Amino acid sequence: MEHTKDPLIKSSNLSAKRESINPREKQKIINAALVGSPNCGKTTIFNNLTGARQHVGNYPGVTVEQKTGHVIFKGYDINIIDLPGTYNLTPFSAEEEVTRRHLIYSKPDVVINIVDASNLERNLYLTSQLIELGTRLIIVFNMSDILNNSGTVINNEVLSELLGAPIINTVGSKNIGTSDILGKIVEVFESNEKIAKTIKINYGEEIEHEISRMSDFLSHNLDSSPGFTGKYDKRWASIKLLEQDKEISGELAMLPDKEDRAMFSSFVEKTIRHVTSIFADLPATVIAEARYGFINGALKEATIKKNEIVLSFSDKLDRVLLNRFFGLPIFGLIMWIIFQLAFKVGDYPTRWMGLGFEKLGVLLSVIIPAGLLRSLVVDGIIGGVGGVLVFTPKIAILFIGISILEDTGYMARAAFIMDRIMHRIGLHGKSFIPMLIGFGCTIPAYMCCRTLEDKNDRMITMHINTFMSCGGRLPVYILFAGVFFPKNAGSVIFSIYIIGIVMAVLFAKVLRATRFKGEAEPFVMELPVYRLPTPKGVLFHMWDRTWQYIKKAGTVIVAVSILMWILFTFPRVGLAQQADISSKIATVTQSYNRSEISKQQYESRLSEIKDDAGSAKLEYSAAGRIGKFIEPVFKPLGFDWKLALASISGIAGKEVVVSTLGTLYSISGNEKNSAELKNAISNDYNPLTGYSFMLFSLLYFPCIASLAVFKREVGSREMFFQIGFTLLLAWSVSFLVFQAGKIFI
Amino acid sequence: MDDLKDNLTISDTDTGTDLKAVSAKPGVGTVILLNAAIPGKKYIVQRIVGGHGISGRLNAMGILPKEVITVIFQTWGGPLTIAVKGVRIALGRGITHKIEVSEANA
Repeated sequence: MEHTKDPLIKSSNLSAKRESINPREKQKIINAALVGSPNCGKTTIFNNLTGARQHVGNYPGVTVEQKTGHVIFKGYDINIIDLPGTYNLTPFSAEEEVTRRHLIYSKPDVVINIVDASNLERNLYLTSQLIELGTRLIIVFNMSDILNNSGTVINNEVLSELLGAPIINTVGSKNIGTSDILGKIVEVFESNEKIAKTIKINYGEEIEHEISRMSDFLSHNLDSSPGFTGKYDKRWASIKLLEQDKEISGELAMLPDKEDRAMFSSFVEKTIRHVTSIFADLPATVIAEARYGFINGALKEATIKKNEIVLSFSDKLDRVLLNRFFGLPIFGLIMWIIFQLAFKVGDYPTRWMGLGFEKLGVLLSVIIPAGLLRSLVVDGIIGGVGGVLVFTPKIAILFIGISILEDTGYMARAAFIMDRIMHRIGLHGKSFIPMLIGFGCTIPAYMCCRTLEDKNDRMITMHINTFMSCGGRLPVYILFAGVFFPKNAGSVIFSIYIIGIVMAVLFAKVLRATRFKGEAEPFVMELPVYRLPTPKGVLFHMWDRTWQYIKKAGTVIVAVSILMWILFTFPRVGLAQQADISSKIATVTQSYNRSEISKQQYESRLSEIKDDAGSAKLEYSAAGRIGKFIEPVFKPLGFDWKLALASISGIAGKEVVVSTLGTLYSISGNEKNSAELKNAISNDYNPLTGYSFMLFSLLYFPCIASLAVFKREVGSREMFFQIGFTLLLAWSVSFLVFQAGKIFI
Repeated sequence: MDDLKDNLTISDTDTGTDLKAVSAKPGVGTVILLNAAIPGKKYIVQRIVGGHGISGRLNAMGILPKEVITVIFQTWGGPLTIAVKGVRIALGRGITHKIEVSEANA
C-alpha cells in the first residue's frame, strides 16, 4: 500500500491560479462527486482534494448546502462536489434526497465513494447501492491506518474485483493518498469502459424473479412515457419500487393517464404483498439483507486476516459521558464553559474591534469633507455594519466550541442525552443542537435544522428557534438592564433568556398540537468513535459558519444601514429653520463672548438649542414621521415613538436597535456616547418600560436576514406565519407585562 | 403501504406462526422488545415493527433481521446504545419498542 505525500497537489495549486479555468476547454473538465456515510471523513477528504478553492452554495429549491471545489490535475480541471452524507440511496431526509438526485440526474463522470475503512461492512452498504446504480465508481478506504493498526489485512485487489471498482487507501487526517485519488479519477475518466465493471448483486431467486417481472411490466407499459424510462434503469427502478421508494413510486403516480396510474400502483402493491407473504418481511428488508449478504461475501473472500476492532476507549468514555446521573450535568458544564469563553473572552476582541471602527470613522471624517457623504459613510455604514461586525469574535468562539463538539463526536451524544427532555416537549434530541446554536446566531441555527429528517420536527424547531435569544439581542439587554437594573443586570438578562426558553417550550407544544401534528421522529443516531479534532478541521468548520454571519453584515446590514440613514436624514428641515438655529447659536455665542453669561450657562444653552434642533430634525425626517405614525400601536406597551422606531429598525437585526437609539439621541449633534445614551434613556423611560421593551425585542423574529434564510429553508408561507405569530406574541406579552406592571407600580 | 406490514404481522400472530422465529436458529429464546434488553448481552434481531420508513432507516444502519446486536448500555429506562456491525448506535425510547429481539446463545 503505497502512500504518496502529494507533491503534485501543491504544484497543481499554482497551476490552478495561473491557468485559471478556461471554459472553452470543455473536454478537459471532469465532474466528480464525493459520496459517503456520515462520519466517514468525507469532508476532510474534500478539503484535502480542493484546498481552499471551495464554493458553498445551495441546491436550487431545496435546503441542503452544496459544496463544490475544483482542482487542476494532469491537465484536467476536476470539479468536485461534496454530496451530503447518507447511509442509503433510498432517501429519508432532504440530504439523502439531494445526494441521490445528483447521482441520477447530474450523472457525474466519476463517483468517489468514501468509506470508513475501520468499519467496512456497514459502510459498504452504501457502496452496494452505488454499484447497483451503475455509477463509475472509485472506492476510497479512508482511515486505512486504523484498519492496518487493528491487524486486519484485506486484499484490496480481490475486493476491488468483487466490487467492480478500484480501491484506494487514504488517511484523510494526515492528507495521505490525496493525489492517488486524483490520479485514479483521471484514469477512470480516461478509460473507455463505460462502467468499470457491471457487478450485479443477486437478491435471491424470489426477489430476482419479482424484479424481472416488474421490469418487464415497466418496459411493456411505460414505453409510451419516455420521461420515466429515459431517466431510470429498469432493473434499478424495479428494485426501488420493491423497496417502496417514495420518489420512484411518486413518479409513477404522476403518469398522465389515470388508468396507467391505477394499473401500476395495483401491480406494485400486489408484488409487495406477494413478497411480504413469502418472507414475512417487507421486500425492502429482504433486499437489505441481500445487500449485506453480498458485502459479507465479498469481504470474507478478500480478508486475509481478521481482527476485531475493539472500541474499549470509546465505550468507557461513553459510560461516563452518557451516564444516567452525570451525562446531563457534564453536558451543561461543557456548554457553560463554551458560553463563558464566547462572551467573556470574546469580549476583548469585540471591544478592540469597536475601537477600530471608531478610529476608522474618525479617519474617514478627516478624508471625506463634512456633508451628506461623510454622514452616510461614518454614521450610516460604519456605524451600522461596525455595530454588527463587532460581535464576530464572540460568534466565532461559539462556533469553534460547536465545531470541536462535532468533530470529537460528542454532539451526537449531546443529542442523545437531550432526547428524553426534548421528547417531553414533542421534539427530537437533534432539535436541541440548532436551539443551542440559536443562542449564538439564529441563521446557522436555521441551517442546522436540516439534519432533522422529519418535516414537522424541522418546522417546529425552526419556528421556536426565534425564542432562543441570539447574540444580536444581547446588546439591547445590556443597554436596558444596565440602565434600569444596574444592581441586578445579570439576573434580569438571565430572566429574559429563561422567558425565551419557556416560550420555546410552550410553543413547541402548541405548534405540535395544532399545525404540525404527529409524533416526533424516533431517535436513531450513530455514535461515532471519539476522535481528536484537528485544528485545521475545526477552523474550517468555524470559518464556514462565521462567514455566513459576516456575509450578512456585508449585504443585508449594509443595505439596511443605508436605508435607515436615508430615513433619518431626509427630508431635511427647511433652510428657514436651519437659519433660525444658526441665528440662535450666534446669539448665545455673542452673549458669551460679551461675558454676559458664564461658560457653564453657555454650554447648557448651546446643548439645549442643539437638542431642540435635533428633535425637530428627527421629527421632520421620514423616520420620525413613521415613528409618530406607528406610535399608537406601541403606546399600550409603554413605548413612545422613539422606542417604536427602534423596534422597527430592529427588523434589520436586533443589534440595530441600540445603534438606532444611539442615532436618535446623537442626531441632536452631540457626540455618540454610551453614557449619554444611558442618561437619555433613563430620563425618558422607567424600568417597567425598559423590561417591556426587552421582552418585545426578545420575542419578535430575529432579523431580516434570518427571515430570508427562513424563507429559503421552508418557503414564504411559513416565513409569513413566523412574522405574524412572533409579532403578535411579542406585542401581547409586552402589553400584559406593561399593563400588569402599571397596576403594581 | 405503511399499513401493509402491520396487517401482516397481525395475521401472523393470529395463526400463531411467527415465520422469523421458526426460521431462526434453534434455541432461540423468547422474543422481547429491545427496551427490555439487558446491557452487556447479545441479541438477535427478529423483526422491526413499523412502517417501511423506520425499517429502511434501521436497515441502512445495519439493524435488520438475523443481525446480532450487543446492548452496550441503557440510559434511563428505555433509550440505549447498541453495537451492531462494529458501530455504536443510540436508539431513543420510542424506537426500542419497535425492535423485537431474542437472546443470542453465545
